[in-house]
Amino acid sequence: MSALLEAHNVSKRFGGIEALADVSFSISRGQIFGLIGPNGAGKTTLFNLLTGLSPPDRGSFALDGRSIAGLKPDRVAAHGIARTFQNIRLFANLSALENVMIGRHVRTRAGVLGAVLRGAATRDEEAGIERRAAELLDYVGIRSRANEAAGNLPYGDQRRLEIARALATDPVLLALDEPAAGMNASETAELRALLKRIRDDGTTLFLIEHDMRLVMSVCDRVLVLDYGRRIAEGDPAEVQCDPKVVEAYLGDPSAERPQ
Amino acid sequence: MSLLRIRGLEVRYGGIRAVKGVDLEVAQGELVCLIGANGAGKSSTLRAVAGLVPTAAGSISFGDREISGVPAFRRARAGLVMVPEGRGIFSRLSVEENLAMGAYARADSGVASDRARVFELFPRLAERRDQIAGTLSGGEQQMLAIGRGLMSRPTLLALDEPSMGLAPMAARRILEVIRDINRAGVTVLLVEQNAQGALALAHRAYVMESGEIALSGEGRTLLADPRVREAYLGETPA
Amino acid sequence: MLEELAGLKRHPAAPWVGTAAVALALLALPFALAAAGTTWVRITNLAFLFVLLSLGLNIVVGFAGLLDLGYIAFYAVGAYVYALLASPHFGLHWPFWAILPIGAAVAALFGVLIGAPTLKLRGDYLAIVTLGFGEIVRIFLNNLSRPVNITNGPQGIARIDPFRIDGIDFSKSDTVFGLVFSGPIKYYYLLLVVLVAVIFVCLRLQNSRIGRAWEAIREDEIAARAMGIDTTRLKLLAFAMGASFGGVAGGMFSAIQGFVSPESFVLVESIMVVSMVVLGGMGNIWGVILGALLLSFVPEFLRFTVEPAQRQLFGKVLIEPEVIRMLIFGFALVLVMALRPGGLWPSAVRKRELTARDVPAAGRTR
Repeated sequence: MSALLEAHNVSKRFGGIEALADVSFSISRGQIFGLIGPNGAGKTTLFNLLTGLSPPDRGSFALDGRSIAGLKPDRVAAHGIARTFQNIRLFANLSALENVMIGRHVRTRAGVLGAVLRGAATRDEEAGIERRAAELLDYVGIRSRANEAAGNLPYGDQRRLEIARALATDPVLLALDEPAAGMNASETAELRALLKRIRDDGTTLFLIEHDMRLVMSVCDRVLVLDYGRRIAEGDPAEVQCDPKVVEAYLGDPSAERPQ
Repeated sequence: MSLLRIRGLEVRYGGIRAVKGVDLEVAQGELVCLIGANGAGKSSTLRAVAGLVPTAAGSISFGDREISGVPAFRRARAGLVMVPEGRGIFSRLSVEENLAMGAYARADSGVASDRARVFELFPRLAERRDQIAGTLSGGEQQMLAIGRGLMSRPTLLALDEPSMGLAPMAARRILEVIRDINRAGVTVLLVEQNAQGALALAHRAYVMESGEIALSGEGRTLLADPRVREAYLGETPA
Repeated sequence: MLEELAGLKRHPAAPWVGTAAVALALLALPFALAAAGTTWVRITNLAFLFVLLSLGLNIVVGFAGLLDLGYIAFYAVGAYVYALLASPHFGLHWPFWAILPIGAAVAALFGVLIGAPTLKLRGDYLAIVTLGFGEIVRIFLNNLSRPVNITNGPQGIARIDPFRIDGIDFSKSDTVFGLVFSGPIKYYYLLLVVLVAVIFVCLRLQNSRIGRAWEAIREDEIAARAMGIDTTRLKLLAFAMGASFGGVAGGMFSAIQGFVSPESFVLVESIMVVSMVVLGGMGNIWGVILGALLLSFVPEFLRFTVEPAQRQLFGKVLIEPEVIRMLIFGFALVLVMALRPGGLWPSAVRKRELTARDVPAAGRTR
């Protein structure tokens, strides 16, 4: 397995706060790589830096050996990194199908002339876009909701729609920010199956999550951040027992049980 | 003594009935929680209690007053304070300013000491009192939202999914804080996805499904109930 | 009887019959109007120009969600380009079919120039900056008379050439098959052709990869970028396309009126176009057309009825027609915003937007 994504000494300051300090890691092709840590540890900031939303102060990322430093978010997507958002950023007033069709934008070409003239090539492209979007809705299990407004979908379906939209960009790396947030046990189980299927079908996954059961059952490797720094990395079982991680993030597991 | 009584509550969004006739009661000093799956109507119930969505049918009484037609800000002034889902803090104001907004409707002199108490409860907020709220982490924002709620000197504090999106330790801490607030005398109505944590704290609890109350009882009892354990605590049946 | 009519609506040939009926009505209209007076044909032509402007602004505001309050600047640019290339001012008399594309291109260039600095701005700030630019263009036109006289300043440019092609002069009347085609009637048909073309382009754009990308930008720009949409290029494209329609309309305005001055391009005209778009139904091509037609015709109808009514009731005119026009705009805006905030004919998306329940950002709960 070769390295798909490498991060070297990524650092970022916001005003006086050091959001990330010298974070380095490597994700191999075909892995499901987890990122955990307390709130404020810098996880979403790391995603934002990776996808070009803001530039790192120091350090860089390399995708398949090529640096993606300085690229804007749309270029990062073109290079093959797609993401979902912690707070769900769907195009709420557009239908589920339209949301996923928009995900195809980066892999299609028709411009103004194509739009107005609607020649055979454009017509084929449009048909292909709609077809692929419907397939993806099917893949994540919400085909029946294709024509409903995205904002009206139940919560679990919205999260799945966001994943379908990201998959529409044909990514090599899919970065998911808390995909299981707000999901109950059965929804999380379905998500687990979906993530494994996505990985098995060839997309590498980079996952921020708080749901430790999900992380344990699905991730090949886990990176733990606290106060912007890496405090542990390894396979989920190791990391879960690491005393630094327990102290900073997991807390005493016996506190979970009822009094 | 009953502080909050809800009878036959119905909430509609356009043609959809999110809440289909709910009866619920919270006695003075209690910590009552409302659990259920996404879309069950828990948040809608709470928002109707707070006055943020209109009541299609039914009655809500707070203390001895019927409040179904009363605008939200008056309910807050009367002591029924809501901490909304997603925190709802003023992201461009500082921590201190957010807390000050919580005391907006108060003219008494206890504001400064209340603020001090909030900082005692949440030392991390004290460290960051001048920081812009939008730059706080999720857990810190949740603490700020609760602190701001406390600044209104609530009689009843209604919390909508306070542990959502928080790391396990932060989620646990928030629930502990809520328990402490309740022990200090504030009645609490808590809506939570994290059934485990919420039921462990609650005196009584209601389970909502598809807009109706499916189960109710003492927190401990429900925690041990096999139906609850299977549906909400993710345990496979024996 | 009603059921039969309703059943007819569903007949497969119905849309074609409907379209044919509308087309015939539109083709016959100018002659009907001319019977009431050539003024009405002129008013209709002006209304069509505003429809063109509204369709252009709809691309910027309705499709891409960029609030442009200085749109009239592009109308001005198109008008002056025509005036400079087809009048005694520089002694140039180029044919209209050569100038209009140039006018559209120059307006599109201005669209990019005005749009570029606004790319990082949102909402209110974007509106204010575009408003400022609109004013700057007008003031430029007002002042570009010294040291070199380019625009002739506040006096404007007069004796602008009418359209001429193949010996047909658009300023004169010709009689064909017993029908009198006055100047305004000729312009009417040309405007109709241009409008049909523009509507076609707008419909095609809306339902295309580009149209979807604009919608995405309007809904959530950050998510749009994360999906690989080059928001910079697409926003500039929206500005440029919208501006080019304004440029074409401006050129036609110049020829029809025969005279341009900066006075025709004041801020209130930008506001007027925005009102037409918003009132009619932002984002919905047909709504926008309806808004433009209503806000162009209704004040004129009222002027023709209210003036004599006032004279009859009070012996004189108490409220000037211009004032009435403004009153109507204000009143209509308030009424529509209170009762139908999506516009008279809202787009489906806008309707969803406005009836969406007050659900938090995470979009949870039914």
